[in-house]
Amino acid sequence: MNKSLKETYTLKDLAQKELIAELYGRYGKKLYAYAIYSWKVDEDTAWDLAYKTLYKVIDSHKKYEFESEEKFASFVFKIFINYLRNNYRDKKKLPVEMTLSDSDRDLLQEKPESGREINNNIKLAVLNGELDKMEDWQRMLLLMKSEGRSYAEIARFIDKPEDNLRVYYQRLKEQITKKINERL
Amino acid sequence: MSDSNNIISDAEIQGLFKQRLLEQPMDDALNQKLIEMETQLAFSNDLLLMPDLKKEKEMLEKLGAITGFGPWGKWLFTGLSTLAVVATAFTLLNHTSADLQKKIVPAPQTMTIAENKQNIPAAAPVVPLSRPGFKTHKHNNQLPATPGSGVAVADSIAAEQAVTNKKETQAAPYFNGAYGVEKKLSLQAGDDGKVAVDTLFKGIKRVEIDGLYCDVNVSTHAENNVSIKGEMKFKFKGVILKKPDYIFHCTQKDSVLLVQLEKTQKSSVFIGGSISHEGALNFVMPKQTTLIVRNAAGKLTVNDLEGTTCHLGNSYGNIVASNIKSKLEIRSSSGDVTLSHITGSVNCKASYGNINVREVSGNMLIASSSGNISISQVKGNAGIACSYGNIDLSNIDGELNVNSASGNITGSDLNAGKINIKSSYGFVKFINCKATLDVKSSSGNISLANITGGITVSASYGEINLNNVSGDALINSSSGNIEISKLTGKMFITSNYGHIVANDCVSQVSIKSTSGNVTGKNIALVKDLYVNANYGHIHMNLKNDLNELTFNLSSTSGNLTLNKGGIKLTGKEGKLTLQKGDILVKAVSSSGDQVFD
Repeated sequence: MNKSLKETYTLKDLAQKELIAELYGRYGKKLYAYAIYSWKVDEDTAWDLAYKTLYKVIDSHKKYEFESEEKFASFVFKIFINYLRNNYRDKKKLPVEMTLSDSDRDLLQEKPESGREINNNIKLAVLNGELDKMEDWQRMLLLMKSEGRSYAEIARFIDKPEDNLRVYYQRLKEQITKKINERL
Repeated sequence: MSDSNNIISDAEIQGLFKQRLLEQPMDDALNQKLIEMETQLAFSNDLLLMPDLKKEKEMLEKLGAITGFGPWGKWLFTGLSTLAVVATAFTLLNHTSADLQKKIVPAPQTMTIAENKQNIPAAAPVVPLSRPGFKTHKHNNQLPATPGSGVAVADSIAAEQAVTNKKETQAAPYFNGAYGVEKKLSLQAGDDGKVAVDTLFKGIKRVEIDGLYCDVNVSTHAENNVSIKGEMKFKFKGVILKKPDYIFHCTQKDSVLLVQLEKTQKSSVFIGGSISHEGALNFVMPKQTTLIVRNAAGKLTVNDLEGTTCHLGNSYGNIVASNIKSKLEIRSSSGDVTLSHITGSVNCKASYGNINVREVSGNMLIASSSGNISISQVKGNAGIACSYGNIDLSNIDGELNVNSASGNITGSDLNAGKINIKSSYGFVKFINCKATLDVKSSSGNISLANITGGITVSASYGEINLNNVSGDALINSSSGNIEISKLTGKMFITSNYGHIVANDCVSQVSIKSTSGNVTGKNIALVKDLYVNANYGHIHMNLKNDLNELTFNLSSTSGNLTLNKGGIKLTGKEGKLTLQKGDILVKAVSSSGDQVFD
């Protein structure tokens, strides 16, 4: 176990001052960058998400035990994803204001799915099914390449020859495309 | 992939990944895998974008202020030290000698009372009292105490103390209208960062508290004055080139008292420095006072108020209110909210933190972004919206509307006339309700027991379990098993995937199932039974006498069997009919067998 691992899971022993600096350095700015790069959110939203995540981590991390850096990072990231989902839903449909007279009507309204939504749902269902069948490295390849990462970068996460990744990725896309066409 | 022959694009795959992560439950196995991968990507060593230093500073200041700490540590020191040196040089170059003198000689704490009389109504004087922690204080244009009021005259010893630096302050920027009387009390924090207050105001009907960084406690008394006692203390650590100054203002305008904290140094420069705060101010006021609080940080506690409105806002810190007989409004950014014994309506919006409410006699609206909500003993209607967090409800007598994006919803002992529930993710569990329930759920099990009133359930995924229901049950389910027992009322079910089981029901039955078995045991029909199962078997055990029933069974490829009242019949060419009584039993299936006994 290297030094950084030990430091991470003993964060709760740090003074508040060191804790904030440590958390921001390790996670805060990376989450900010990740939110913008991977989720295409604007800068203000990215800062807001990173801030809320750090605040929540600082507020709650002492309640839990973490056996490794990976576990702690996963804890931080899940909080971030929760806020991201929150943000997504807030913007998508959750009512900002709620009134007694309107709420039940809002709640009960069923919006018919458009053709585009149905197609999208089918694609999502196919992707879910195919992802279930894939190995971890295949999912990682699909995820990273779809985000526009280079094969050289992907090769650092996947134990496969870099030269072969292009072919593997193309096959995965063809496999998904074929399944979608069968359903559409 | 606009053309189905084209291969799916990277952007589409990325979009689908994101959609999956955002919309599927977090505990879904595949989502957990994806989250693990995204975690690796997000926290890999490569920083995809370099954050703006100014933004970093703001965030760390904010985090530091909330947690009582404001430094940003050594990781930022290198970058900011350069900035600080430049800022220092700039500051020094722009200061006059007088400015520098002010900087070197610590500003003494001053207290000022100013009064402008214009058609003076019956308003009481401001009477500040001395407190430990004041270095000096000064009463300017001080009014005598109202004779016979029992209010102490200003402390004479303190009044005699030398005043080294008077500080006249501007009236707080509230109320542009004309006022008969205006009085001001201003206290500047001393070098020790402390502001000590001990004063009272008479004739106040409304109190506004704004931007304090300390605990605020509000209680009531039978006297006709508002007293403020306590201390706020700011602690400064590390190197701060432009130390902020704080002035505590109390401004009385007619019957309105405005209490606020002013930060005079707008742009402070910190290098490894921090500000924390502590202390508490105790306000005691008449019960009928209207209270408006917009606190910055610290715990806010309010008891026993009966004014027209009680608005409690807090950016960071818990809010506790009890025995309030007013229209109560709560706005909380971060921190728990606890409300009890509220006579009047409640409107509570909280971003982060748990909400706990009990004993409310009026209507109630609760909206929360994150954090659990617990509500009990409410006489009026309740509307609840929660993005993330569990909701627990009990003993609610009014109409209930709940909208939850994620999190479990539980309810018990609800006598509401009508209950509407919408849940995206998380289970819904209600027990002992006298109400009409309408539950819409995207994902998550639904369990309803001991319900008197009709039930309408619409669910996409998840099991549905109804037990001991007096009233009609209308169920529409896409996927998931449905189990109903002890239902007295109509049973109308539409299900795509999943088995349907009904036991010990007195009912009129209509079931349409695309796939999945339909099983009934001890079913007493009071009216007709219709079952349509495309793929799946039908087995119904009916309590009715055979003479009450008329059977019309048909199946494309399944076997048909009627074994009841000593008669055993089997279908021929996919049909079985028997005409006896007025209650029609009609069943249709494609490939499933049918057994009625």
